Amino acid sequence: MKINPKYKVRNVSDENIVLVQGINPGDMTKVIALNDTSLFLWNKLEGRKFDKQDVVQLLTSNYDVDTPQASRDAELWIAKLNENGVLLA
Amino acid sequence: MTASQYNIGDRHVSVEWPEECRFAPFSAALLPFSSHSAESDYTISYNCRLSELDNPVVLNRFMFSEIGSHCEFSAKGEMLQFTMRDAQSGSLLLCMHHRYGTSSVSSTPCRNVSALRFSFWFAYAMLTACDKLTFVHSSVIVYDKRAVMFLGESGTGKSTHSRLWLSNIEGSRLLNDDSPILSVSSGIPQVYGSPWSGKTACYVPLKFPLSAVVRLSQAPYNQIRLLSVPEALGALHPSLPPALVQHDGYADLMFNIVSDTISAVPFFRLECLPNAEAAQLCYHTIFGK
Repeated sequence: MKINPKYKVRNVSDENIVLVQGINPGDMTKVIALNDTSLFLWNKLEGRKFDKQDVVQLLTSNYDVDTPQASRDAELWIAKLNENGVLLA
Repeated sequence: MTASQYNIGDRHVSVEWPEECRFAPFSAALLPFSSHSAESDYTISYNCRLSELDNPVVLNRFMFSEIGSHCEFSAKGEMLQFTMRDAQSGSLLLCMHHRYGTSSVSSTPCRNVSALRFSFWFAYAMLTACDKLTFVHSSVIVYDKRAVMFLGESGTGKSTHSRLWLSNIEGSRLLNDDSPILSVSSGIPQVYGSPWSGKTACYVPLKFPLSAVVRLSQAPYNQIRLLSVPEALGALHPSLPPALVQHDGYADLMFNIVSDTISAVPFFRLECLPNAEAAQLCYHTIFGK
C-alpha cells in the first residue's frame, strides 16, 4: 500500500492536519488530525510502498513498545487511514 | 464601451463589459463599488475571441441553477478555463481564460446578466486568491465595528440567524448575506462586503476585522461551544469556493488563508432554534456582554 500522494500534512495552529476534500459541491471535507506518532509514521512512509510489517518495524525500533502491541497499533493506523480514503492499494 | 473601475476588497478591478451592453450589468450591486482610480490591480475583459482549450484537465463540474447552466472549471498547464453552457441546448454561454498567477482574465462576450454576474465572481476569486483573498459562503454581521461570520450549508439558516441579530441585538448591521470576502494581512483576518450577496440586496463597500466565526446547525435547543482546530477547519473549508479548491495551487493558497484565520479568531458551533434567544446566546458568547 501507499499514501495517496495528493494528500499532504499541513500545520495549523500546532496541529498536524490532513485535509481530504470531496469532489462535488456538498461533499463533506474530512479533517484528519495526526498525533506525534502518526505524523512520524506518515513522514517515514510517505512516497513509498509499504506493508504492515514496515509500520510495526518503525514502531518497535523508535518507541518503547513490544511487537504484539506494535502490531495492533499498526493495524489500527492502517485501518484509520483506509477508512478515510488516504491509502492507495 | 470603456472599462468600468471597481474597488472590491481594497483591490482595483477594471472590467470591460461586453460591447453590446449599453450599461454595466447588475449595476445596483456594483454601483457602491465604483471607483475612479486610474490604476488597476486586475483586469477582466468580456470582449475577447477565445477558443476552448484542447483536452483540458477537468477540475470541477457543477450546475449553476439560477439559469440552468453547466459550469466547468478546467486546466491545461498554467492556463485555466471556466465555461458556462446552457444545460438544455449545450450551447456555450461564456468561456473565460486566466493564466494562473497573472492579473488578467479574458472572456468571450455574453448577454446573460446572471452569467456575467457569476463569471465576474469566479474571475475575481481566481485573480485575488494569490493576494490572500477569498470568498466565504456565509452571512456576516457587524457589531461594534467587528465582523461575525455565520457559516452553514444552504438552508441551515445563516440569513435567518443574521436577521435575528438585526432585530434583537441593538447596533448590529448586515455586511453581506452570501459571499463576503475574507482577507488576511499581517496575520489579521478582515471581512469585506461585496457586490455578491445572494438574494439580499446588501452591497456594502466596507471592511471590518473579523472577531469570530460561527458554524450554524439547526437543533431543537440553543447551545454554543468553542471548536477545536480540526473542527474549525472542517467548518470553514467547505465554505470556500468549491471549484477553486480542486486546483492544487488554489487549494494551498486557500489553506493558508484558512489556517491564518483559525490561528487568529475563535470558531464556535451554534446549534440553534430560529429565535431571539439563539442570537442573544451567540452575542453574549462572542462579545461577553
